[in-house]
Amino acid sequence: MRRFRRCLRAFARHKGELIAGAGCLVVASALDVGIPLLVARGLNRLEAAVRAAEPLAVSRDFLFFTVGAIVLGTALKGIFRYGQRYLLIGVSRKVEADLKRDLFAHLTSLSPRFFAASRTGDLLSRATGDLEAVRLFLGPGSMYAASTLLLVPAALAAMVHFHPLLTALVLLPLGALAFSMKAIMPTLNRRSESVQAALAEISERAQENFSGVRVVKGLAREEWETRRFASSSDVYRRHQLSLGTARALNHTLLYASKDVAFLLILLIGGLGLLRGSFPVGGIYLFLDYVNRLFWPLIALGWMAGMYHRAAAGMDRVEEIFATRPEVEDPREPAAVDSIRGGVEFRDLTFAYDGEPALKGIRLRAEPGQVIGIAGRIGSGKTTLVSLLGRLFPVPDGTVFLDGTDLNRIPLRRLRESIGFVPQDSFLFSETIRENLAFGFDDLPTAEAVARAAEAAGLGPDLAALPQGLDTLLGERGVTLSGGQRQRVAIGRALLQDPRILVLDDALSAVDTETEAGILERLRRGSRGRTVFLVAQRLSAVEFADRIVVLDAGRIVEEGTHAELLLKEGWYARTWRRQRVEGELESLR
Amino acid sequence: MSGDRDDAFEDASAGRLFDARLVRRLVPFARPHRRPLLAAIAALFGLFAAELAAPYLVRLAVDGPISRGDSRGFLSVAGIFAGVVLLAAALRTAEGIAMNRAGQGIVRDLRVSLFAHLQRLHVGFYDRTSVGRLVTRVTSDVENLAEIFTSGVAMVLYDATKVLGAAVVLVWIEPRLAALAIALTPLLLGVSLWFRKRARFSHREVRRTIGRLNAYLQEAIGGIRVIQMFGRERKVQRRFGGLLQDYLRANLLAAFHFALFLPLIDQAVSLIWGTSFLAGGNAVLDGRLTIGAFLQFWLTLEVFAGPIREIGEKWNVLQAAMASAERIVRILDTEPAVLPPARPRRPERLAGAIELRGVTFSYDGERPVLRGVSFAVRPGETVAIVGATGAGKSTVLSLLLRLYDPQEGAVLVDGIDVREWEPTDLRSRIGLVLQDVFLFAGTVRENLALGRPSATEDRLRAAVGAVGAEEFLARRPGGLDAAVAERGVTFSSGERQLLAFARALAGDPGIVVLDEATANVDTETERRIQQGIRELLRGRTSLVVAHRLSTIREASRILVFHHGAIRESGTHEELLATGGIYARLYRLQFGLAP
Repeated sequence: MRRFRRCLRAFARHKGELIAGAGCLVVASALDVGIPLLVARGLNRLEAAVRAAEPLAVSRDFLFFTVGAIVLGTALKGIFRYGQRYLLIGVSRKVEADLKRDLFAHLTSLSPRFFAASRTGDLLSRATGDLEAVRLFLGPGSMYAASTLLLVPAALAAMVHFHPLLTALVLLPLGALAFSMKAIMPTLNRRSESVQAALAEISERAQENFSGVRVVKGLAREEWETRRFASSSDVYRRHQLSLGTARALNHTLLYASKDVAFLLILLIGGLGLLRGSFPVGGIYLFLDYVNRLFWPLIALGWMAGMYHRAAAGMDRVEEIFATRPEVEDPREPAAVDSIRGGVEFRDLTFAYDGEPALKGIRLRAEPGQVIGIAGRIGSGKTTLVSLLGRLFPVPDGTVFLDGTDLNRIPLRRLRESIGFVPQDSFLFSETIRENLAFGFDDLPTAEAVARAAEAAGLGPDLAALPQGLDTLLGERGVTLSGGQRQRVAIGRALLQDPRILVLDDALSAVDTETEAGILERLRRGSRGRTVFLVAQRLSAVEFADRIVVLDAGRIVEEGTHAELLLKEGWYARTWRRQRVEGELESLR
Repeated sequence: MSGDRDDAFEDASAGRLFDARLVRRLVPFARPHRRPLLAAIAALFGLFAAELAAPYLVRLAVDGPISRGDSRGFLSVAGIFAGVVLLAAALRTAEGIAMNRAGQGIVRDLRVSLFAHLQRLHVGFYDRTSVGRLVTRVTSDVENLAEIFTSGVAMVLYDATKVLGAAVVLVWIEPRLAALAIALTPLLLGVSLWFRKRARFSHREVRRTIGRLNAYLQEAIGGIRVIQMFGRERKVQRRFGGLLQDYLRANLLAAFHFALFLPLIDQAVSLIWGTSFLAGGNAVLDGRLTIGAFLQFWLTLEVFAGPIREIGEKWNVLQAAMASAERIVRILDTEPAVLPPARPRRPERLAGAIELRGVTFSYDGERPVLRGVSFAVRPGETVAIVGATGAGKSTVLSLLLRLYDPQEGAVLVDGIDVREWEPTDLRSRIGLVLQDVFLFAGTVRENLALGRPSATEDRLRAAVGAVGAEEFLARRPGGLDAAVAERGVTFSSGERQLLAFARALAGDPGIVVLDEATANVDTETERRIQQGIRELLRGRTSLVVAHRLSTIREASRILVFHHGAIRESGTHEELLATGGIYARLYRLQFGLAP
């Protein structure tokens, strides 16, 4: 149970509901055992009345009273059962929500490297499936177990009181069942795993075929594919049939053991009745209790499986909680008043793991300067600008903002001073306005938002959308083009009015004309703002105060556009090639 | 969004419980499995008889031997009772096995037919439909649908008979008592149906809210850089918290309905039961009813009420099955847009002449990708197509393979319009290598042979040898039988290309269609690939979307595509001399200074 400590703490937060729910459970279970006793008494009395020919009026009153008590008891039981289920399952849901909230908060503190190393699907399944398994075990699972554990001794005590021998006999088939279930379960599990595997194969085959449909058609392989799919379907069917047979036998076993118990009750009870040694109510009681205990007792066996799934799930969830954030607030923060925007990389070498992604970077940007960063894919451009916002742990004494080591500046302060436009121009599935205002807790004024949108060159796009700034983006809304997305991301960064602006290849999907417009507005609007411009298309960095070219993590060329052209290096070659490309594009 | 429309449709169609048109359309899939289906139904009726016989035997025992104190008589009734119970157990097992056999048979047939039908649909259908949805159709939708025949028809039939049969027996025992009990069943029915509705509603709410929650979680993971760079961890946590609250509320609502359901059902049952106990007890006291008959009544009442109690659940299962059926039938009723001709032509030999005559084509019916393209390739000629991205080069190949039909003009092979060829026959005579080499999960051998009878061991080995794939295959455990993972990820891109060349060669095609990959490979691999291409094209009519200088230079003719039209045509030297688009492209691609 130690591994569930986190959950138990969460349960403790809902102590009141937990206690009330447990109270309901005890009362409902007591009524569960008690009501059949009332029925049994009624039956006995009826039988006695018929035998002894009691005065009718007395019997009628008694009958009426008994039935009334039963209906009322059932109503009461219903209320308590309802209270039990609603409260306890509700608490388990609340605990699940608490854990999810904590898990999400923890996830947001982890560095992008953690997410790069894990598959999103896997993280999602921990946050959903695994937590659900934990909830099922600690919530409904424990609740049913508790009510079974209350019912069984009480019912057994009543049964022993009426007929000890019959009680013992009835327990025999149930015991035999438990025993044979233990034997049949592994087979059942094995077969159902084969079914799952066969289904997975079918869905992989289908997935492969549908996504490769051009090849399948182009190679005229439809028939061959259908044959392969049919053979997978046959395998699946075969596994299903063998699982079905095992299941049917399992069911038979379940029912047969119950049937045998019933037969024993009717046989021994009937003989007792006929000899006058056992009342008809007793027979009823046994039948009712066996019926009532049968499923819960079997379900207790499933608790083991539930526990294993929950334990494994909890371990996977705890693994995430155990991952510490790589980047944390400085322990002794430096006093930072106003940020001017001077940046210096001092001999920075950085490795994600193993081979360094950046080697000996020396670069200085005075406040207000525009720095262009160019280079091949994978040369370290994105890594360099990511370190500016400490998305990854920055070695001490290598990156400075206004002369202060980045690692000593409060994280929030640092990041709020940087306007960041990521390469993938990631946007949320919210309205354009909400996306633009992402950097603010409260919506900024409509004017400010409109200004930022204008500066990012979004004007014509917004005019074309019927709902303008309030257009919903994403799967349930509108899909923007790559260029539009990039411009929204630029507007989002501009709205923050940051001291430092980072554009990580943020104009690649924008056509050259619009690009020129945006750059022009950036230049005018950002006097005194330090800008880092990462670009594949060199036309975007032409006007920069200084351009550095990275190759395999090193700065290999540095200078102004004009200087670099004279150097006849990678920059000059690429610039010329892109010019020809541009010309070709504009050919009609 | 197409996705949204589909979702809306799914919800709208879920309102139907039974659609005779759909069922009629699907009956042919159940027909071959009627024997196990009928056997299962027969077993169910046997079971029904046993369920009604058991209470009667109790009555016989109580009113007869037990009241007389006749233990021998009692034992013989008990013996019959035991026999009935055992028979019921056997029938239940038989029913389970037979129903499973029928259901799985239907699932299998439907699945394969659906898949085969999907294979006939043209590529344009796949451009519009997401792969994920199609996979759902052939997996879970097919399984849901089979419920119509298994739990659906059989159980509804069986349950209806059971309720009616039990009602008849109840009336036979004591008409007035029966009338009383039956009059109260709407109560039970009401609770069951009320719950069905609420359960569906709260289920949908739970699904909707968890969908949003998970989507946001996924989105936040994808946008972690932005969240952290903007220092907005708290903000997204609050937003997540809000969605979590919605999810929690939906779950609590579901918990409320579920917590309420059983007590309400119990209450309805206890009312029916209490009333009949009261009335029955009075009848016993009056001497109108024996204790045995009273017990029989009571036990039969259980048989009567059981199916009514569960009607809500089955209703929902059937409804889901109908919704799945609707989605599947919609695919089955989609006619392939690229149809094989009524009287297809299959010439003995393929000479290998290709011609495009005034071909205009657009994927979306609006922006044309090809505009009036005409050219001819003589048998044995190698023609290279060059041009910038989006110039329409690959589209020419798709039209030749008849993956699409052009809006105007015609594509001819050996002078016959490709629309008159049997598509499979045409395609299997063309050796195809696409830019993104697609390998199927399985073995190398399977990937090379693709089930073609002509691809003998000797020919496979010859093809592998010719393209120079022998060496790296020899290094893999299993050689030709080496495993290929999904999409061939275990092979390098260069190796995948060589395998694709071998695959095309193994079919000994009359025409080769090659869309060259631009992927970066090392010099040694590049040398091998060039060699492989040379082998592949030797002596065959070929149409190549070319990126390699070597390929272009060795072509008999080069067609320069620009914005969907042929702008230049000639040999490498001729085109360079003209100094047009090709000359520029050539400089651009091969990095020569202007």
